[in-house]
Amino acid sequence: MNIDTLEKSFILMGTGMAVLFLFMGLLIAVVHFGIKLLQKLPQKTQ
Amino acid sequence: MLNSILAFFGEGLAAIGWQQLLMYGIGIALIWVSIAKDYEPMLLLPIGFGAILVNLPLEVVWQHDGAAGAIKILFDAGILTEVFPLLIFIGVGAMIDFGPLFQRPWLMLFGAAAHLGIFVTISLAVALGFSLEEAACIGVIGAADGPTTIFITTKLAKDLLGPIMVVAYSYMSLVPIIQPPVIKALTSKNERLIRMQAVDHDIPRVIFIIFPIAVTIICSLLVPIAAPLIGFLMFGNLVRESGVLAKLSSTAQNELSNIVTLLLGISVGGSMRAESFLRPETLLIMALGLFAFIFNTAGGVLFAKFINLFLKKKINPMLGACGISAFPMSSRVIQKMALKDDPSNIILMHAVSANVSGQLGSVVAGGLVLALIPILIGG
Repeated sequence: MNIDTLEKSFILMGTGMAVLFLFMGLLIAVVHFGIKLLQKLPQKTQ
Repeated sequence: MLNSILAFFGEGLAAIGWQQLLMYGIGIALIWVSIAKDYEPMLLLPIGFGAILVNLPLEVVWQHDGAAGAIKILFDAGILTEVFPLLIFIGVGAMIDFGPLFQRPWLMLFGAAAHLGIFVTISLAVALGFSLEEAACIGVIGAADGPTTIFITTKLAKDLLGPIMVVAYSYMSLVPIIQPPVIKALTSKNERLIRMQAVDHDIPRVIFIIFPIAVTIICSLLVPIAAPLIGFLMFGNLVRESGVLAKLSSTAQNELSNIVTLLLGISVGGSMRAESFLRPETLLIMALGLFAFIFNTAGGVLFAKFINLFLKKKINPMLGACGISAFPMSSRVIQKMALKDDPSNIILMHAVSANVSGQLGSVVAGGLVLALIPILIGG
């Protein structure tokens, strides 16, 4: 077992999971606020 | 003259060893499970036949007299160039309905949590002696996403393509067998009985158009190397949701997907030559692939249990297991489990929401692996 490579795999795990959650968080924000904004738009134009 | 004729007919027979015979057995077994058990027949049948074809005497379909054979031409043109997985992604994108996910966007978190198994498996594979590139390809099996697995393996460890693809598609078809015991081991009956509230908001149609474009841009900003994967997937989805390309959407979902799947299967089978498949590593890859599947399921379930600690209205932790990319199989499995404990507990739409986010998550996880490994190795 190569300890140096194992250490790199842990860095990959930490970074990978963090970016995955960040990506999903951004998508949740886009959908959530996108829907809210689009639902308000017609009311403003009336 | 007679001797030459006899030698000609004997040449094929002499070229067969126990390895080739074993590969015929593996090919026949794959064809059998695809027909008799209905396990991923669209891929396992062509892969099984391809495995037989490529191990026939003198490997004529691979290479003969210095010229590339038919399967090698398909393999080089469709897999090494990554064209086949990307074309399949157009079809997959055209099949995805993000509607249920827009009703409950918070379920996208499971699309991230249920990919923990990929990274845990990478560490385990490294501990078992695989290089970081090989370990990454093995870990990605857990995402249950065939095209992404091909894409990553072609770039990082071409030699492992045969065993990794067979393992990936075999386990994908075994989702209904692999997931339930893992979920049962991690949840109590009371947790599995939790009901999910039905939601039915009006979703503006334009959000269906904006979403694939936004996903492509956000993903490519975070992980530029994943742009081809996410781009083709979301292009297929945009074609579907545009509402003006019904024929193209139908073609992507049916004819395009079917033709490419056919060619992909037989090309992957072509990579199962005895000398590259019959290695001790293949058995290890099988074990690690199963571990990745189990740990991805566990990651999703445990994450759901973790967020339940902070919620007044608890969520059914089985939904976490749907964060993998095996769509719609995983959501069906979870709904079936919910109905088994309570015949009136309908959680299918929540499960579908988590499941489609798993499809996005697997692409991003694959892209992250591709982007980070060269940096880690270089550093």
